[in-house]
Amino acid sequence: MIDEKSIDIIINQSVYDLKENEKKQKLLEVVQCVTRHHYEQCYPYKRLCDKRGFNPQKYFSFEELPYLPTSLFKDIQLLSIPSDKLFREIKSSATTTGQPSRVGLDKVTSRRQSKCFNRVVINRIGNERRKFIVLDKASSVGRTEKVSARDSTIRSLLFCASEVDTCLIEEEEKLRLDYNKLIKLLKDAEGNPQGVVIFGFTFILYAHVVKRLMESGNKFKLPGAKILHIGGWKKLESFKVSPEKLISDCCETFGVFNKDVVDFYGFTEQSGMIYPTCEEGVRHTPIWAEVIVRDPLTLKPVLNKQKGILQFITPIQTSYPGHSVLTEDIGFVNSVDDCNCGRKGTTFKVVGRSLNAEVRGCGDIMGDLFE
Amino acid sequence: MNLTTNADYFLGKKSEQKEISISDMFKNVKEVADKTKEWPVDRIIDVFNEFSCKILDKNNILHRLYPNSGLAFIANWCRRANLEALLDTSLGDRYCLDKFVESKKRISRAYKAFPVGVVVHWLAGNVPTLGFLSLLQGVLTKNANIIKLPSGSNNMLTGLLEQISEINIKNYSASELVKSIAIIRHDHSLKNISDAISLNANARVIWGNDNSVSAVKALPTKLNVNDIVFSNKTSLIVIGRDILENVDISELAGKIATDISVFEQKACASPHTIFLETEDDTILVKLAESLKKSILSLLGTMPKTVPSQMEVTVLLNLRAKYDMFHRAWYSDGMEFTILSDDYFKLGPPIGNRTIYLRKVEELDSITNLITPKVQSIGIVAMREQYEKLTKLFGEKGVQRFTQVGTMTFFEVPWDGYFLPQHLVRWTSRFNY
Repeated sequence: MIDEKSIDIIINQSVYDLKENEKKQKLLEVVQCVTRHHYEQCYPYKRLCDKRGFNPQKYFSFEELPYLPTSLFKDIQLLSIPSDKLFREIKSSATTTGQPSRVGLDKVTSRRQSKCFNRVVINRIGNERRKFIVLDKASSVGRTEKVSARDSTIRSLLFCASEVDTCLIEEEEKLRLDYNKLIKLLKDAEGNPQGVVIFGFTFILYAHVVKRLMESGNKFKLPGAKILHIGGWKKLESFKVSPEKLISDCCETFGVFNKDVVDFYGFTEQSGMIYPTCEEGVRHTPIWAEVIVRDPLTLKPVLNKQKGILQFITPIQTSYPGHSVLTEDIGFVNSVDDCNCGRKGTTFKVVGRSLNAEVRGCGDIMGDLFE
Repeated sequence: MNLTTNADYFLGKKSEQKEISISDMFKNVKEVADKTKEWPVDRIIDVFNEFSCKILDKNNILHRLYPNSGLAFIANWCRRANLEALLDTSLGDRYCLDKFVESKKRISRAYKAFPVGVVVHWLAGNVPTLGFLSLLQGVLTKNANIIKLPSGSNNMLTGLLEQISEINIKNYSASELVKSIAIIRHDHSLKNISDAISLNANARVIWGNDNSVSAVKALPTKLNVNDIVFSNKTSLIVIGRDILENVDISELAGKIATDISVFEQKACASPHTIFLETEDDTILVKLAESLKKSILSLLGTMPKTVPSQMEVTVLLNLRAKYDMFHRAWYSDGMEFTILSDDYFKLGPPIGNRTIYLRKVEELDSITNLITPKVQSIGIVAMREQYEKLTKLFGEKGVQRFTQVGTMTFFEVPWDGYFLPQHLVRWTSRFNY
């Protein structure tokens, strides 16, 4: 049986306060325990470990822990719980292959994911409830029978919203910006900018909101407001917009501070794990997660600052063996324990995907829906 | 309307994707070809033979710029003996490109092969090397040539032409010859540009997958255009029972490893599946283990190129699935992957030195899997079985049977074509 308490202990600790060497040992112990659980409860995972000569009963390091490619979850549903314990299934946006990733959650995993997600968000944007201006359609925040991955992402953030407004309109399955409504919402927000969060998928935020506001010469004064965005960057390639340009254009348009433009990174296969950019523009691994960067040819871990494929390890998923996954994203470890924002732990940057990668992510799909 | 495209190479010079007029391009390359067609075919062969020596030199900068791109293969192919054999086999006598050559069969008749005019080569992104080989045959047959590159291609072809242009043979300067060639690229969605290029072509050599070939085939053409299609094909290896029980497995694995390693399996002739005629699992395992060693030992001479992130994803996914539900042998890194399952099917082609090992009771049953999409089959079988299988598989559309270890050697006919035959127009006359 898995020691649930050991996981709870780690997710109840301060999110970013432990230095790398202190965090590593605590996290590794829990990850080892969770790995043994998946080995015992998920037969295909056991076969994979056995084939690779990996024995979870023996001591192992993060680097030695086998990883599953995120694409595997599109092809097969792996479970480490009896199917009658399934509480919820999360599907990804399925843009790369047309086939979504499917991960099965039990109540415990779902609860842990929400908790981890909320704690990271609160750590980054604060604990006050704010008015959310969501750059999406009204149904994405309302009660609907079906919940898409995109809607699910939006709703998960609304736990810290005092009020929610949307400014996209759906007509014949195409999305259109309700420009006048957006202007009104932003003007109203100037009265209390610190109480406002503007949230949207990256492509929509830039291509259909920021760019349009800039072209029309509309600028706002919203110091203290937060701009949160999430989703793929690939669709923005034609706009030649870098993360730095997106931040500076947001600052110019909305009158916000650099540090208040926050880019969230996460993926379905480790739902609940969210990595926002900090005030210094890098991402931190919380106490319950670690990142390893692997060389695309040798698959060996690379040195800090060297680019490679990102692998994430976390013990919070106990309903499926998603505790060590290799993503399709390229990035690098920036530093350890020395970020000027004050948060400890490993910092990393995501630099996208290789040129061969296809469009993926909720934000990218949403771009396709736009008029 | 004056339509334009972007030239990588034009008028004998690198053009840095400068915009050029399509009508000017056709006019220029044709004008030059009309002059250089007076070159004796042996001088053109001399140029390529000299070029072969140049690029065989390991210090040639192209080796550094384009490692593992098949330069040695191109060099080997451009040797005089090979080119003479290519033209003599395809045209009967290469000198028919220079003059009327008396028929050996019909008294008082003579034949000359005239160039068709302008040959447009639509290249595929997978193996630019093969595109060079179709260009070479366009030049040998004294045509003007235009290469349409896929938008993401590298500049290797331009690099090759720059090296050719430096060659002088007797009073013939290859700098003139290369002026009859243009390398262009533009977005394939610009239909009016593609239409204009296609309409001006006298022959179209089309490389690519079914979709890209269909797209080019759908473009408007001259009424009498010659189309030569090299669409995506797959290849495999079959090993007969009698041989399997007596052969030196490690030697056999060494040859297969070569076929798997060349071009990262991106050539149509690269095998993706090996069928073993056996029920004995130990033989399959023995071959897998031997292949593992052989592919690893080849890495020194054929270093693995770094796969894209998407390719890594596909391979890791397969490895994980096969570890969970079938069997797999692979390197610690992305150097190679051997997969074994109980399916009765071809591939699918994965690339990056990935091969499926599958047992079958009878090799004859493979006939059910053969379609005209199968280009090459490496056969390891006793004589009697070899005769039977080549007949069975050949009837179903296979274009080549080869020995293992030489599957990716380019030869004529290729994909069923003697290409030079399709790039010339024949004229006959009576002997005066």
